[in-house]
Amino acid sequence: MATVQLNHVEKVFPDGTRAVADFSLDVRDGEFLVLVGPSGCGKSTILRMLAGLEEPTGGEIRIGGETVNHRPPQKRNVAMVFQQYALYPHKTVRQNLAFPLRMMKMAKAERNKRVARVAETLGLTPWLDRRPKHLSGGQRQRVAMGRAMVRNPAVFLLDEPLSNLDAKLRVQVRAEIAQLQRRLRTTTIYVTHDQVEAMTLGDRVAVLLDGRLQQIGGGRELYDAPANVFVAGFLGSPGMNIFHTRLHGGEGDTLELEFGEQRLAVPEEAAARFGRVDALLERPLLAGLRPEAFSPAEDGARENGVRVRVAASEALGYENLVYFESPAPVFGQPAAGGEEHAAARMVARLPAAGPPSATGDSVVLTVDARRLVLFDREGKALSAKD
Amino acid sequence: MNGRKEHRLTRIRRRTAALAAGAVNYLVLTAAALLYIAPILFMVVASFKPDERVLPEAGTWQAFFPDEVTLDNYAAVFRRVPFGRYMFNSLLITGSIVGGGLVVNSLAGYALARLQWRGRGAVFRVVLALMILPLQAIAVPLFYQTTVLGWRDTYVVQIVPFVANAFAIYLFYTFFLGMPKELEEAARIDGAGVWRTLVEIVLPNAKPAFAAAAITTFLMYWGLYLWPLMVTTHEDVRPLPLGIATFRTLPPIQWGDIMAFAVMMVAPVLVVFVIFQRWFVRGVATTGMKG
Repeated sequence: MATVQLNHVEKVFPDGTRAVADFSLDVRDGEFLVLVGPSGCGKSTILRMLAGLEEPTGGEIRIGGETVNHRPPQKRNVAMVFQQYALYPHKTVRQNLAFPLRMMKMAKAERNKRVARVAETLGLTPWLDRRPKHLSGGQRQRVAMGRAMVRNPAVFLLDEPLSNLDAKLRVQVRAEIAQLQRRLRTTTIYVTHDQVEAMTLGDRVAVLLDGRLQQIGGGRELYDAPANVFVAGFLGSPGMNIFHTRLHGGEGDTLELEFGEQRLAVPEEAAARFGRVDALLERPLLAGLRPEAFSPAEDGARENGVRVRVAASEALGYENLVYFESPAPVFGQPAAGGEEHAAARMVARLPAAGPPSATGDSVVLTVDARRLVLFDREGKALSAKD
Repeated sequence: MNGRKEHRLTRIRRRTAALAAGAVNYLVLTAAALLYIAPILFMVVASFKPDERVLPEAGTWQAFFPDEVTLDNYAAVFRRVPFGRYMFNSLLITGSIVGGGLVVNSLAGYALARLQWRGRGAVFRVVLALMILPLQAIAVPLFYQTTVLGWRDTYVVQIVPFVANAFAIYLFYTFFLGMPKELEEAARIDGAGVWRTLVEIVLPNAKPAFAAAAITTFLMYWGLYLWPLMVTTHEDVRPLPLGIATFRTLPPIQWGDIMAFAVMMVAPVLVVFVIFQRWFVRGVATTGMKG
């Protein structure tokens, strides 16, 4: 077990690509940390630098308190699970599992004992004498996990280990990995582009974009209080609705938020989380509302409701996703990069029990203003501390 | 009604056309196969026929279907020339070239494909350039060099210049490039150093490349004639191609004996090919090399 620290780590590839820039991170002993971000954000490069497969071009990497910048992979006591598993095709499952132990020059009796134990834990005992090509995807994944576990490394590094499994198996193995990590309590760094994996697995989640850390924290924290519009849009499926707006003074301790031509009532204390209210008023802002901040308006009630036109709806059984034409100018989400019309839409997550909405319907939605998040025009979340 | 009938007719016509096309296909293929196999068959059959019947019957059916079989020609080969010596020399020389080549060229290919070192690009370009240089172009300077070294009339002079082989290096290079890098990375993380990774992980997975390299270099050097002719004068160190050249002109010229010599000379090629064929085909598929 060990702590992992990255201090101002930088990686510039020989061709000039800056994959990681000024990246600092402290991973606690026994923690399950997830690095998440879109492809090309540098998360895999960070993992490879931790493994020793790449050398950082700047900064310092410490594992268990020792600087390991120039230490080769075999001297770091870390284990890695690759996306393609990288099982040795000419070796049986048993030989694959025993390989790291043989490299440690462990005595044969002890080696066999360890392999047997790991195989037992992962349910691989019946397949010990098979070659990887005769195993199913899920079994291969397990062998890859087993090969990482077998020598009790200080740190587990997992590079998108579930991306080659089908959806159903992915959910199952995801749970198994979480359970395994809780039991072993080995410091784990897990790279994924899947925000569901990130939210469900990580003690903490680090969100990356363009080689830079955007935000780190518990899943809930990132979801409710994203540090910027990228994190807001990236986490959650669908992501947060973000639109251009201004706050105006209203009656009493209620403020008014522009929602296109319409106005949303915002209690002053809800706005106060983002700074001094008088400093927020009348300036161009970005506002974010999660899809679940909307709910169907009670019959006739127009309290804090907005009238919108339905563009499309998806019935998922347990809920309906209702896409509507946004009354307010929508902020172009950098991560989504979707088609043009998508940018002009917002989405609400409504209970499946409600009446289904058809395209073109005009509906009234109530907005829970307590779930509002405010960003400055550059997309950085506002905070009362600023 | 009429339409359906017509439809059936079209179908039958189409099927007949497909059958006819297939038949023509096989006819052409069979003819081509016969064309290739005929001289080899003639050679084998002739080697088992009494010497005086080989030439007179060359234009008849007996050229391929002998009515008399004998081993006299084979015995004659061994009696008239030191065939065993030629064979031994050829096996030793080609075997050493192939064996040494597998070690040297695979390591070179791996270093070019995977390791980072100063001058790698330049070396790689030199290897590429060497691939298109025929032996004839370098034979004279090479002859001069080896003479200066005092290597004339030895095995060494027939082996050493050919162990490092640009073509084989390139073959290994492309193979290693195509191998998933993660395997080696996993091995490094699992605690293996560069050599361990090479020996335990890379080489066992490179069998097709080894087979392809072995078979191609074997074929390249088994029949080498010009070079041994330049650098050897003694029968003791001469290989089979020089042996058959001498034998062919050794009076009395007996075609049955010559055919027996030829059969024994190509037999090892067939053996090597049959042994490695399985791997060779796979090697061609994975290295993208065409023979």
